[in-house]
Amino acid sequence: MDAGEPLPFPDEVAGNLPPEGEAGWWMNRTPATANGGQSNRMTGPEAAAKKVLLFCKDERTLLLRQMVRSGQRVAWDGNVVVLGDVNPGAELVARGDILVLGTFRGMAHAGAMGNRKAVIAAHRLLPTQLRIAEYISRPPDGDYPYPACSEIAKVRGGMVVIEKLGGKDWLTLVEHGSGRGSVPKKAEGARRSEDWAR
Amino acid sequence: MGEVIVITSGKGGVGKTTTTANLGAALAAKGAKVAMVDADIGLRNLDVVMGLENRIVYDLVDVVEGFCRLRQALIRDKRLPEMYLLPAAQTKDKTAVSPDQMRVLCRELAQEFDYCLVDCPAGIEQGFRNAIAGADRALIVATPEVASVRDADRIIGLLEAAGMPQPQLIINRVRPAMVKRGDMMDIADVLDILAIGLIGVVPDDEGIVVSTNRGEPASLSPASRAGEAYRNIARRLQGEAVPVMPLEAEDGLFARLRKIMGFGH
Repeated sequence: MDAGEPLPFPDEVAGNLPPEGEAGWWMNRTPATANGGQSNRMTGPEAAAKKVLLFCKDERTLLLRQMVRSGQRVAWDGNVVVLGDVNPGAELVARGDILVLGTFRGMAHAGAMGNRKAVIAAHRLLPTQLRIAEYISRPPDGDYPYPACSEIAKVRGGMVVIEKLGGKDWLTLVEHGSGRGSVPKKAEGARRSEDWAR
Repeated sequence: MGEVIVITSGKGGVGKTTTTANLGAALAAKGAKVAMVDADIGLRNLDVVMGLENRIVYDLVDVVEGFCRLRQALIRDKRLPEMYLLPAAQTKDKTAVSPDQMRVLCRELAQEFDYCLVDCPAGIEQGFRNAIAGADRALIVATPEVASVRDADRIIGLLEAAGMPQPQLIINRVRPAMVKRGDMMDIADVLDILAIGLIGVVPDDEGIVVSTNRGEPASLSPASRAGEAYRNIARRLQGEAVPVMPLEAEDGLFARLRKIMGFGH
């Protein structure tokens, strides 16, 4: 659990793009060892163009219009947007940002190739675990309070902090995407990862 | 050198994971060094039942693939310092591990821990073969239902064929009132069919649902009836002779009153 340990997934993220006509492969991915690691890789980003938006300047964005359930793993060389819920036991891994327009209850790893400016935002952020670049945090044990609003997790001061998402924060998110990245004042009522014991 | 014990049943939903968590906690509470291994790759639950889900970084598959060291994947329990969990991977399936790899893994764990409890998946396919591969002995969990006993019998045969010493039986979720009415098999009926040694009987206990949902093993709470049964099994695993506890104690005072007043069942 030490933040300094190597990340588990960099090879999973790099260049793992869905082949054309198999839009669902990343949902039930078979282990690379079972098929020689061939069938899950594609030759270029064009093949997935239907699923890809140009969301941020320097990252491709994968739009998933579905629920992500336990055991399903999305690994993407760019941003990931989910129009749906993400359940416990599901994993989202992205080189860039992760946005969930639903309830996020799973594990998310944003900036998985080391981008500490990556963020994880969700309509309701109730994660099992959050990872941004090499930082890992988890919620406190037992019940913990969470606000009934959208939230955003980011790395600040060497830890993952969670803030309410709204007003100025939207601007920050957009600025981050285009690489300017100003840091806002701490939002009111933010949950901070000091409470999130390691 | 510790002992590797696989907890298996054949049938699903009879309480393998609950049994693993409770026995592990009971053994660790008595001071033993315990490692629990979730061999149910793709359908992991032991982490949830132990309340350790949010601590998972590496898992069993990462270890056998050499992606991390065993030490890195072992999660230390939040209550008991001598209890560790090796979680299963959730995004892989049973083919991600081979019996040979499990054998190596179990040997490594046995060198460091007094007890290594392997939570076996339901079924008799590769997940089962993986789970039993490194085990020195087996505990069979069965509920007093015909289907569960049938599956347990099949499993015992498979364990014998695999050269495992005779397994011991845990009869789980016994409801004394139903047994009394003749609506549920009693312990003798189950033993008659399976003909293996009994290591414990666990009464049906609503509190188990609560404790597994909360991620707190019942064997750590002194008041739990099922928890007490699991603590007794843990003591028997350690070689103590512990008498089987009376199952009816949940009626406690009322039962005694009835007896005193002559309304015995």
